[in-house]
Amino acid sequence: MKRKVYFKKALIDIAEIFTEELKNIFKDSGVVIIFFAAGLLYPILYGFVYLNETYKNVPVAVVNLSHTSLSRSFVRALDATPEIKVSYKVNSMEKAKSLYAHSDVYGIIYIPSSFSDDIHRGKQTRVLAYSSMASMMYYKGMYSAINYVSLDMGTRIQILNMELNGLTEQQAKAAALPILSQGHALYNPKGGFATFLLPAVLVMIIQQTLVLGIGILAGTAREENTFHQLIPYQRKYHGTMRIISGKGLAYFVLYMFIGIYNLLFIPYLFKLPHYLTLGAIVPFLLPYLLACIFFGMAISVFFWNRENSLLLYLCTSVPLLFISGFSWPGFCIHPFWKTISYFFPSTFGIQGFLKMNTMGASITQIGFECMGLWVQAGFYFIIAFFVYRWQIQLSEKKINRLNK
Amino acid sequence: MRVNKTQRIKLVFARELRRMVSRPIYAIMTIIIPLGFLLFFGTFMPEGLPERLPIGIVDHDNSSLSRNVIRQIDATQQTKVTGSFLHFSEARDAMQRGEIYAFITIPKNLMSDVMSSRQPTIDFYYNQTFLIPGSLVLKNISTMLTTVSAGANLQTRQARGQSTEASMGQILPISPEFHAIGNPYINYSVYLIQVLLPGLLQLMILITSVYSIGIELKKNSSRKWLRTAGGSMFKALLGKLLPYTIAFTAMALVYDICLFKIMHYPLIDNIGWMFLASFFLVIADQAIAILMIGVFPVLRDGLSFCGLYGVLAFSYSGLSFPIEGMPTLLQGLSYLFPLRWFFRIYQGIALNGTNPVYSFHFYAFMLLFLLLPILIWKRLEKAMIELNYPKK
Repeated sequence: MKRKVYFKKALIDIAEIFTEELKNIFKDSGVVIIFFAAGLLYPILYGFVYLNETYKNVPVAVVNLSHTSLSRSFVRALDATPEIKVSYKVNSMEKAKSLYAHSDVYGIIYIPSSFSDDIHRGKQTRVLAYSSMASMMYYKGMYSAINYVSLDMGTRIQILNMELNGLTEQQAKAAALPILSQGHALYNPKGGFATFLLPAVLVMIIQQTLVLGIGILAGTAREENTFHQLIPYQRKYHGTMRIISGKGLAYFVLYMFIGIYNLLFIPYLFKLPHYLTLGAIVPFLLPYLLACIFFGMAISVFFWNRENSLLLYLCTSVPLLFISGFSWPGFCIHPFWKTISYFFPSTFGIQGFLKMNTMGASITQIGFECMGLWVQAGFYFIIAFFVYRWQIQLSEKKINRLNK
Repeated sequence: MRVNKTQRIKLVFARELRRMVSRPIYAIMTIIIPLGFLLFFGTFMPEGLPERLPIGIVDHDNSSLSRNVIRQIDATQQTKVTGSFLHFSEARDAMQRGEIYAFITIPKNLMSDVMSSRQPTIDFYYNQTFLIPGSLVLKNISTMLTTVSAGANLQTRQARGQSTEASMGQILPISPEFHAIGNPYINYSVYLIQVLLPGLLQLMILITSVYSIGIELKKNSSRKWLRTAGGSMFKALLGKLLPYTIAFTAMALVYDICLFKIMHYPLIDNIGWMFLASFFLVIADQAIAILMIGVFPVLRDGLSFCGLYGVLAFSYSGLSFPIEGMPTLLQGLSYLFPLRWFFRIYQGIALNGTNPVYSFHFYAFMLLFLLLPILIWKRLEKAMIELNYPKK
């Protein structure tokens, strides 16, 4: 009987703290901006910047000193690739360099005067290519276009020569290319930049806005509470568990919506790969949100005023994105930073989300990431518990001293 | 006591120095975090290029030829065969778990098909979810498989008595030679850090400058600050921001020296040009910070604006995705980011080694940002005197 009353009381307290925290959130224009403007609008802005998934037609200058029909068809073939565009045909390297210096082109292709003669004599001819390294996209585009055209044209010349020597077309083909190869991109087939970057950013936005919002609320509480403590001195704020559950629940309910918006709606809106469904996302979103919320609550004690958390948020976002291993592969990251990365929910969150949503992995296939998130949720819950209890004791002490 | 012009600036300057030592946050923002960034990106990627990327094999042939193919692929520095699978679906499962970045399926009868000129096909499957390792394995595997095929061709020709040189002239008549200007080994570390570090420093410059002004508004001390400057906005702002100009310029030079002199990142022209660009980046960002806090004379709004703008600057530097590839409507925005012009200067001076004259207009663009505070001059002055904005 007594126990029943106790639980009923606890539930009422939790419900009260829950509604109070929701009120705090909506009262605070700063938090509303972070949760709703940053959490909902930032992904759209980012999506638009990278709306064109791939960069095509890198402008290049061609220096063709060969002036033969063979060299001209080589240039035409280059121009026909989707990767590069021959914007200028010039007669000297000097002119090409000047175009490059003015950023009119991002690469130069040099065809030597001996191009056709070499080929006709059966001697390998060397075509020189220079690419800007200002963006990897220039390099990648030029590299694949020139390699493809050189191989393709070279093979056709080889086959032609063998046919002249009396082989049939089929025999010549088999001799020229004894083994064919074919690449298939299983995931992100276009090599799209938005498909690569945006999902990672979306997962990061959830963690960062959540931690920031919780930090601002904590900072405000400290600035406004009588004793500059995180927890106000009131009767219902006695049970640490109740406080953490009540507040945590408020963030959780809000972020179920914001999370689903970011992880389901945004990929759908920008036509990114989206294997996840509403049902499948829950087992992933649940540990991710819990880990982020308790992480945010555990570190909120360090925020003495509203601006500290903003500062932390601003200078951790970019390093955390890199540490997650979505760009630079995780196993190549320095072991020290790799270890640090396991303390942040975003590391497991980004890996898990990319695997599930972009690559269609099931929840069992991301078992490692899920486990990591649950461990973090538990770990930060315990830290948050002690941090909050310590704060409650501090405010009790102050009130007792005052009463004396 | 009459105080002349420069003395007023000195008074504000001294006042700011006192404020800076009064609370640890200033040292954290100007020294500790920027050094942390340097340490992080300096040690984060020990190799310039990911090596031994794990890939898988599905070998349906199990012949001496198929084992030879596998050996050749394993021997390259960039890929390492870590798993061999019985079926396509098994290999795909490993790929979805993130254990391998690609896998190769070798068809049944590969060897006998080659012997009888039936042109068998080796298929490989790669994953571009992770763009950097994905495109590296693609490049490596397709080069290797082309080499394997050419090797078989060469063997047949040599068996017929052709010389290697003559054979290669037939097999690969056109051989491209590729030069990546300024970064010959395609070092990703060099590639990323060249923008990430100045970009993060830019973020700290913006935050610190907005903070140093915004906190006066928040704590109602802006009238006192303006009085110290003798009522002149110009002197107030100059005296206040000058300590940070010095601190951040020094930090930017430390970055430049670490990157170009200690880590020996590519730099063709004189480092002085990079010093100048770094200094311009600092003052341009400070001017933008004045604009931000002028538009939103509330500390937290100003800082939020910093975050939005400062992070967007990475996209608009054009490093990862060229500006020309963005939607036309959004391309124009790139003019609003000094980081963009800093990066253009870097390309010319450090990577391409083009005559600095070609970069002069980028330096000029950066100086234009100094005019921005004019737009909010009166508004900020009013906010400082009337203190009529919410403090929370």
